[in-house]
Amino acid sequence: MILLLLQIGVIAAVAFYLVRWRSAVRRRNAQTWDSLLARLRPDWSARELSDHFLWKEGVNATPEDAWMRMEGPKGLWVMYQNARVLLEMADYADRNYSGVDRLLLETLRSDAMQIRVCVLMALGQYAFSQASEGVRVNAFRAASMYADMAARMTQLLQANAAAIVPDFVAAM
Amino acid sequence: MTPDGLDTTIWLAGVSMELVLLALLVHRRIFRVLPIFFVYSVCCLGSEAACWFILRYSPGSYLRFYLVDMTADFLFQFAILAELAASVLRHNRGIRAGRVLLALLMALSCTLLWFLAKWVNPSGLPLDQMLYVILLQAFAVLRVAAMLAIVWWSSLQGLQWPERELRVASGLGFYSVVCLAVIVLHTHNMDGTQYHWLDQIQAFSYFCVLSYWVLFFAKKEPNRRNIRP
Repeated sequence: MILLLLQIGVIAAVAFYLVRWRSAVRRRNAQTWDSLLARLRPDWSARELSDHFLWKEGVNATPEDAWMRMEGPKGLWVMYQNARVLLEMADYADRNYSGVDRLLLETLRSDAMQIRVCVLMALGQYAFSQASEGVRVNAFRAASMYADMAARMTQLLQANAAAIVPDFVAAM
Repeated sequence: MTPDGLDTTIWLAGVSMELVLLALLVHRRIFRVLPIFFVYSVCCLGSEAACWFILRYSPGSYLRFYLVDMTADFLFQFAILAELAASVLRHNRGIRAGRVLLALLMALSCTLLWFLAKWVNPSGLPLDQMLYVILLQAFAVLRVAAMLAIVWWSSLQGLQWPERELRVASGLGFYSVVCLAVIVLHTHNMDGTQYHWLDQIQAFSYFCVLSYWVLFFAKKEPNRRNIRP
């Protein structure tokens, strides 16, 4: 009986997961530029890490400084969530504006994936060893990739959809 | 309504819906964009006809026919998922296919579902009946595993799904989950009536999926590109 309940529970969980995935995909298909901007987390900005954030790649901080300025795991989690939104913004620009550079799009996808992996590694290490050297190095790598991705995103929007750049800069 | 009468009603409703779906697929020229899905719809109808013919004229060979039919059905559904994945890739520019990632996710989902299944291995059955039970269970797990692998893969890559491909995948996913639930319940020593009800629920879920697809393909597909802000 317990096995049956367990099996039914797992199948129900799979069904629930598939329904949630479907709803998320449909919501994503219907989203507008404004809804994307609204999804960017405003409670921390990577401007803390670079004087030329959004306009130039790289960060002006050591791993220790970066960890302090990103307020530890809070900044990491914001980067994790915003990386996904930035990727969806790139897709949105690709769908709605012609001539978006394919290589730039591919790089943004790769950035988003790497940032998320790096953040998850840093958060995993943080859970076991607090702010050790390894955590700070991984967080710095994530922050650096995040700044690069944001600069590339600005470049993509400037080249293809200059009218929406001011909103993007304000939201970031 | 007697169980036999209900079986026949569900079967006839399913065949009618398959005919309507096929007509819509031809009308919308879906064979150009999803050729495997189209061929699958044709084969389903052909299989229903063959099934009826064999049950009427040669019921003894039905099980052997069904073994071939269910294997072909599974392979088709697998191929349709691959076709949907390829179509999603075309829809999202600047994506690498990530075949290794997809294979790893498939292995992961298979492992998870296989541990869950805890099948009762049939023993003392004739070879063809034993093969039938084993294939039924294996295909049910593999169908859901393939669906999960594609969902995880597209979520990890942040892919956008066109509405048509999403609808086809949703229908297949729903039917695969119902099949798995029915087969898991079948392995828990149910009496004949309960066992048959589950079969009827599965057949009705297939009818629901066909209706869902018919309702979608009956509507004119909206423009794929969003409106500019």
